[in-house]
Amino acid sequence: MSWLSPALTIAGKDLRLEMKTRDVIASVGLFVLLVVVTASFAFPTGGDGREGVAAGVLWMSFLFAALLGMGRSMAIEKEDACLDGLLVSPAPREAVFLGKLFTNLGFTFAVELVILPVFVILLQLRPTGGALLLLLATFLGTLGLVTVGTLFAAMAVNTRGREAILPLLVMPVSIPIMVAAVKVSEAGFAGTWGSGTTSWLLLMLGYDALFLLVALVTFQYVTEE
Amino acid sequence: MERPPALGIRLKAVSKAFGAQLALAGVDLEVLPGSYVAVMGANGAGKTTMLKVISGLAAPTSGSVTIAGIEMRKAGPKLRAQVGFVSHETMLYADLTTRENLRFHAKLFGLPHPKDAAERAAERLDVAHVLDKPVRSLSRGTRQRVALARALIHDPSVILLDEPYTGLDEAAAASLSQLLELLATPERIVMLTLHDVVRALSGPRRLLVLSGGRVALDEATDGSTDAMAETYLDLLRAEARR
Repeated sequence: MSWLSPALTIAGKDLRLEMKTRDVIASVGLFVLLVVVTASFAFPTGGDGREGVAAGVLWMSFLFAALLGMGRSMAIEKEDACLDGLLVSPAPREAVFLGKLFTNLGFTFAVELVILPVFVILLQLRPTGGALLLLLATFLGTLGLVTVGTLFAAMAVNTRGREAILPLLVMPVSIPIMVAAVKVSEAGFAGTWGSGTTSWLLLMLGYDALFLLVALVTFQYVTEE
Repeated sequence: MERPPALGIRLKAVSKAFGAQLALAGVDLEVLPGSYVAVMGANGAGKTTMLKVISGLAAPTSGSVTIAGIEMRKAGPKLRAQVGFVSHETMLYADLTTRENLRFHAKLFGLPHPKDAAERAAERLDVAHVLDKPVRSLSRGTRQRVALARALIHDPSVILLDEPYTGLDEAAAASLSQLLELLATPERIVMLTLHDVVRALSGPRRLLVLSGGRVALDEATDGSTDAMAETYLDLLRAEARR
């Protein structure tokens, strides 16, 4: 059995669950919308450095959205020992990880795709020239954040204060990808390919590849009692 | 599905510690195909841990667990597909229907026709009438039967059940005993943990009693059941005094 088929089966099951309960999308979407609307009131209407501040606010809201979604998606597996049901199946452990990764990526991207245009409109940004760069930053940044978060959510799921522990585990490790994502998004908002943009993009690619590999290798040990 | 050669379980000096707490302390055990084994013991004796270690859910701190000569931790998908595990939690998604849960697990086990497999499993466990009901809405007994349908959907050769009688009324418990009798064929291993000594001595053909993470009693149940029940109760009393 390949990794892809069971991974898609797990992600499909999560999508079906979400369609029924709307737990993740509703709570996370509402939270991020609230952050963005609040930020729009405090945001400067002119002057230098607007793009940098906007990118920072955007990624803070994406980070919290991802954390909320990932925590909930793994908590579903904890109820009634459903995670054990996945682990005793013939699905390779890597496929279980990928399934949860696909789920978390899907939910986070869905929220981001709704929030991003709202954010741009409310904060009166004009990323016409850098729209693709902004989308690339969103994709690579989210992939890195969610990869790390999915692994740590599996670690935290058996702990008593998992909601509090997950951010404590994820935030320090996600600093490099957050900084890079903010820098590339800033360039995207400004519509210019700055001198360091390529380096930041390469850093994001390297971070994503490294943590994807680490997560695939270590997930088995993380989930084992 | 074509049944692979019969699988035997072997535990060699298996210990499992959770921090300073030793749940299993050097357990040696061999279970041959055709065995129908009841595992008993006081709370905390190591029954659940033993089943988890055999199923591959928990890694032994030392020693080895093999099924068909292959170490369970390193077992590939083919070997894991031969094990069915029922824990005292249902492993079912409460917001999905019975059908959706069973179909999901059929897909996960790579069964060729997941929809049909789900319906067959539901009929076998007499839960076909709740196929389209969310698991959340089912009674404890019905949920337990759906959990069994989930664990047996792929027709496993090794069936591990952790306290499957918990929460069942007498009728449901009797029907579960009947089902386990049917499942305990010469090529299968059925191993269950339970607290009811009468039930343990009436169906299963071998009784294993754990005490303090060690095998304290390992005997066939076809002898004097009264004497075995008394021995078991003596062991429980000794454990309680410790």
